[in-house]
Amino acid sequence: MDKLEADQPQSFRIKRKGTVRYVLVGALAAITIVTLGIYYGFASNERLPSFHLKTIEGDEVVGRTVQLDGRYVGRWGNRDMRVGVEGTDYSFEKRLGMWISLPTFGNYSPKSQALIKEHRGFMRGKTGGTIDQSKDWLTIVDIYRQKDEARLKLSVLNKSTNKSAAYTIDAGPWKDRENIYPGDVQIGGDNIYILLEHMTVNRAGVARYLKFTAFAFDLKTGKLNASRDIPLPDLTGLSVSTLGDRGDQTEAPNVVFITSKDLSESAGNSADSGPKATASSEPRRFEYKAYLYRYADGNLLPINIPDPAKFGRVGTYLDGNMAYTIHLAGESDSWSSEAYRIEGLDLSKQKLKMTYSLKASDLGGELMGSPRFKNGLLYFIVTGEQKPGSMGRPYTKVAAIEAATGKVAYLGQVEYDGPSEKAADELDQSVLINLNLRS
Amino acid sequence: MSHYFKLLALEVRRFRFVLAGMMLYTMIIEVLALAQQINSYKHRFGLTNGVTDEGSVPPSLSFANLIINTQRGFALAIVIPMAVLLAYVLLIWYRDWLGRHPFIYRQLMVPGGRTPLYFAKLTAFLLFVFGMLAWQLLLVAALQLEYAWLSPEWMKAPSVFTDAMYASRVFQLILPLDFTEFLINYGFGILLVLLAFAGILFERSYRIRGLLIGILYLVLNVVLFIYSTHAFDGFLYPDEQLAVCLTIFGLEVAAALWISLKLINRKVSA
Repeated sequence: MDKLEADQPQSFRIKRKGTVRYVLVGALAAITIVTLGIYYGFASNERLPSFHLKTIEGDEVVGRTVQLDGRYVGRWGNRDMRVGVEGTDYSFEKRLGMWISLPTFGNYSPKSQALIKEHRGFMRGKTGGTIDQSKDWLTIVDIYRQKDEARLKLSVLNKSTNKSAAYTIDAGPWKDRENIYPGDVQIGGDNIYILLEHMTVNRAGVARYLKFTAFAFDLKTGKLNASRDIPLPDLTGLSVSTLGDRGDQTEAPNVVFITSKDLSESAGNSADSGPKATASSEPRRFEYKAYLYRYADGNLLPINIPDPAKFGRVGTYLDGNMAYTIHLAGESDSWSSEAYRIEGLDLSKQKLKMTYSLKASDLGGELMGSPRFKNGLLYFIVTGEQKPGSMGRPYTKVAAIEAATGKVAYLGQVEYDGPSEKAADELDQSVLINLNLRS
Repeated sequence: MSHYFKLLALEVRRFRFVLAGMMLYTMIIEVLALAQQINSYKHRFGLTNGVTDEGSVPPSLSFANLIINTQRGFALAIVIPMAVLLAYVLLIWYRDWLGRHPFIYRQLMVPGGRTPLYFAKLTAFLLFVFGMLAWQLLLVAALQLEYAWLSPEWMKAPSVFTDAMYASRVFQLILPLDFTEFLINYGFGILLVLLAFAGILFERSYRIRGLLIGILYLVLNVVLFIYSTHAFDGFLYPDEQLAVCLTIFGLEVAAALWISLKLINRKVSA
């Protein structure tokens, strides 16, 4: 046994005081680390439900082009979310304090994000403009005003050589109170065709088209081949819609104009004098006409379209010489329908080539949202019926249909990944009704 | 290292009563604010035997909904401790120069150099800030118990803990649900503290001239950092811009530390 030294009690006291000194700081640090660790490890945003788009039928490559935007409403305040094949993203916006939003890709459209991923160098600094691409070319068209002159800025990337070029095209005078914008841009072979719409708005706020100009530009030589005013009939009093949604068929570049004229007596010369209030109960009558303009030769042909009033009501998509028109069928509301009827019109022959119906029930659902069109495929969201008192849908699917045949090219379903066990409840609280395409 | 821990323990001990006071204040205000809201909702419908005069049961109110109705109470509970902590960024240094026999004489003479003193003050201050955040989280958990205890059965509705945190604007700011956002906000906060410390040491080193240099240094750094968040919009991609921000952040942190350590070791005197 050690001999007890005379100063032992004192040294013990000093040692104890030394340890006690750190108790407060140690306890504070431990509580802080454990509490914040638990909160951010187990209780924060990480615990929000996660979903992904699972491929049921077809190629997953098609599924990768799809992004479903929506909200998860199972938490207070709702949370914006994005679901794709790769999973769920809740945090696409980051802020510093309350006022400063930090740069994120969240503000970019899915299409721009996909292009940036693929052509990072070319896309740098290009924040606006109309984008079109083919197998060989990627182009961005922008218009700006310089000393009362309209200028087209054309940025071109040759995908095979990875070489880029920028061109400026003189697009004629730009008068005061005139709006000029690209109504249609499409690549056909090694040419790009740009349709400029000139319009003005009178003091009553009524828009009037002044003229349409088409430019044909050779992407290989970098030269303007032609610029032509499109000889549409007298535009006074006409409302014109340009069908610009198109697929990847580039053999026969063209654009379809649908003009409508109000034939009612009350309409008068409304385009110049503005809308007039009328006490007449006479139903308004419109005269519709359709025209096909071929960019390559500059020919404008009046075309005979069955029921042009309905042409493009839900959507008309051009794909080369084919125009696919989507019609509602069955019970429908502003967002969805039980079924759609698709008509395929051969514009060159002005003949209805095919017609078929797509039913939600054939795709394992009850309702279908309005379609998107890309590369000859029609994309639909297919969901179950919303239950009373529920915000979301019991299930959400995505179907890609070959427009030309009506065959299913891809079918995917939103799957729940966790973390809770109540998959049905979480799906019921997920509102995913916006379909975006990434390419 | 032992000097650092001793000085850190000393700094925490010196602030312990203020910290405990702030914690107590936050607790009292939040508990009272929540109780008042529960009470006000309970009596809003003039219930007799748990039903309204029309015979219906009034709508329930979840804990998260109650928090949204108590915004002012929570703001009051958090803003004052926040102001105290902001003031303490200055006081943690200046209190040592106050009085007839300033404590800084002894602190600057501590063997082992002055670097541990700087880091002890910095760590202590950050510990107070994060300690208050942890306390706030514990309080919300306690307030959930208060809600369960004080609310009548008809009023109770389930809600998730994070919903309560998301329901309050002030909680959203001080404890964002996204961990990356937490890192961004408090990373910037730490930078501000480092810049303020550098400013204080400038002032202690060069007095009035140093004060002007300190203010200018702080403003320039903050402006440069905020400017960098959107300086090259349109040309740089968001990930590149974020990399620029992080680089500027890193450089500013390194510069503030280097300047502060230079000043405290070579220039500052009692």
